[in-house]
Amino acid sequence: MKNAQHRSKRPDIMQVLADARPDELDPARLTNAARQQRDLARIVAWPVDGRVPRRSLRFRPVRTAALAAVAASVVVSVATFDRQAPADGSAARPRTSAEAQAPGGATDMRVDGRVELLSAAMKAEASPAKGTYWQTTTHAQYVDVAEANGRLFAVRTSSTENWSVGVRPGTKSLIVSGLDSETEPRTPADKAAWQAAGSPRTVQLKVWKPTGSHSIVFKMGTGRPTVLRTNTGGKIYAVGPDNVSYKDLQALPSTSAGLRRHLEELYAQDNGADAGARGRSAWILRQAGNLVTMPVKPAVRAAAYRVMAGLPGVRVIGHVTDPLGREGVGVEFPGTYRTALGTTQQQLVIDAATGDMLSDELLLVDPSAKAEATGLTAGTVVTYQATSRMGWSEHQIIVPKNAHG
Amino acid sequence: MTPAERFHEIYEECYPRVLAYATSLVGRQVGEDITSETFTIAWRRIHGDVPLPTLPWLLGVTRNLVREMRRRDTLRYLLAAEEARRIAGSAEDQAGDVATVVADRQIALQALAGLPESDRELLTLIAWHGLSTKEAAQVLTCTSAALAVRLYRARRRLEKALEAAQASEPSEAASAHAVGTPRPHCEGAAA
Repeated sequence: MKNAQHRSKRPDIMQVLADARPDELDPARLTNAARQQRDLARIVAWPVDGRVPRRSLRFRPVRTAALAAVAASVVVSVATFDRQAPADGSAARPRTSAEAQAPGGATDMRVDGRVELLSAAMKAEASPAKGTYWQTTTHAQYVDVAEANGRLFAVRTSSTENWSVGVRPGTKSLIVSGLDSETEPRTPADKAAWQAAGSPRTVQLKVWKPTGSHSIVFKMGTGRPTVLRTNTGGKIYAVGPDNVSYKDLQALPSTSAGLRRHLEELYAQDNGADAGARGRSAWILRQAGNLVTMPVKPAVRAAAYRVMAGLPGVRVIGHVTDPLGREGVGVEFPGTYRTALGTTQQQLVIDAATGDMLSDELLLVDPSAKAEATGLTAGTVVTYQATSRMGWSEHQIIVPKNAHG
Repeated sequence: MTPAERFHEIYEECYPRVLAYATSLVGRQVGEDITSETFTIAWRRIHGDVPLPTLPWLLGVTRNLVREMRRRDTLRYLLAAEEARRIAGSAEDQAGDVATVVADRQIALQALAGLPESDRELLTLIAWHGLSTKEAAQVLTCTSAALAVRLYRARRRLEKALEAAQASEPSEAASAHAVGTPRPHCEGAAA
């Protein structure tokens, strides 16, 4: 007991305990754990939807930076598959040459879109060779309805992202997101409602959820960019459940049948016991849509478009306009997806003239009452990710000085 | 800020702390898997109900995942928990820590290890994982009032256990875990 008395100037017991924390549990020593960056891309490749059944602790191989990381805000659930080729009079004259190839029962509209999609494939085949950094610039926007002091108004968050992937040994990859990020009222009417509510600097977005009344907080005005470094031992993208290197990308099958088989195998690996025809089209469409934005061989990009054109349950629409006003071919994901704003539908827009991906977007199909109250009608694009630049460069992109990261 | 950007911020900020917590429950290796699973759940809800502040909610998810694992995959859990216990009991580290400091840490850890699991959980959420009492109550899904009572009792028990541990074997702890330059035993050894 003598010893205990020597220590009688007893410090706070919680401090004693805090001081005894094993170093292995010190968060400062766990920052930038190798796994942290690897997992991020794998995580954001998941659909954002609370209703998707969570896999019960099935530990999966890691993935690395995916296009899905970039397209994160528009990733969509594939939970329901109730509609196929609904009567949408929007587009399209039939083209006789392709009609013969159309599967039985396909509408003229579908035929038309598919021809254009195949034309995109042909253009893609001709795209040029290689450089050091594969770079894409995308513009994203996300719309939601906020409530303040009893007033409803729609807000819009927009930002730009640069993604640069080094493909030569020793080069690095990075994503600078949140460039020119800004949250503002969506329309003049929304601005008036926001001002009537006292122009709050932060707004709460009440969220749709069967349980509980949570809300998320958005800061109005501009935000800072974030830099994310995605150097994970030569693995530069994720294709399905796998991390792939540039070499792996170059080895992808370059025929549509081969690529489709490859993606179907990956689907089976990724979904295991869940595998079935229902979600497969949507999954393969997502992967094919990712592939066309990666530095793959032109023939692989072309094969990816052909795979898209042949997927059952996927509707291809002749002439649509993307959120930046560019015309292209629309490729609709099968099924719809419920959000706080109502039922939505995801579509890709592809430039048939160049074979480039233009945008990946979520359109309101059946707006909720709250959405309608703020003028978000059927057909409104509530989330999009539009690609404005994609190609090779010899120079790494510049990280802004004010970037988090 | 888009939901994706918000998620990136949460991820960068909270990852090390979630991993530290998960590691304290199931060791580093399984802890990484659980951390990954925790953020997967957060990601899926990023358009929805991720509350602010986010950390207590994340730790609550981590805790539930560990419980689920314990129920479903008991053997794996037991092995993982064994590893966590090894970590939670290891005071030795950095060269440069003098033996007496290491000994003090070892005594505190030994005292902690002797407490009931519910005490250990509560005390470490606050002392190691840096939560406020209110946040700890969120993780443990109890009221702040109930938590205050529990914390009071847990602290008492830890104090007693610490006194007992200090009384029983200071020299052993010091010599067993001394690193770096050997030092003479301290005078308390004679007790």
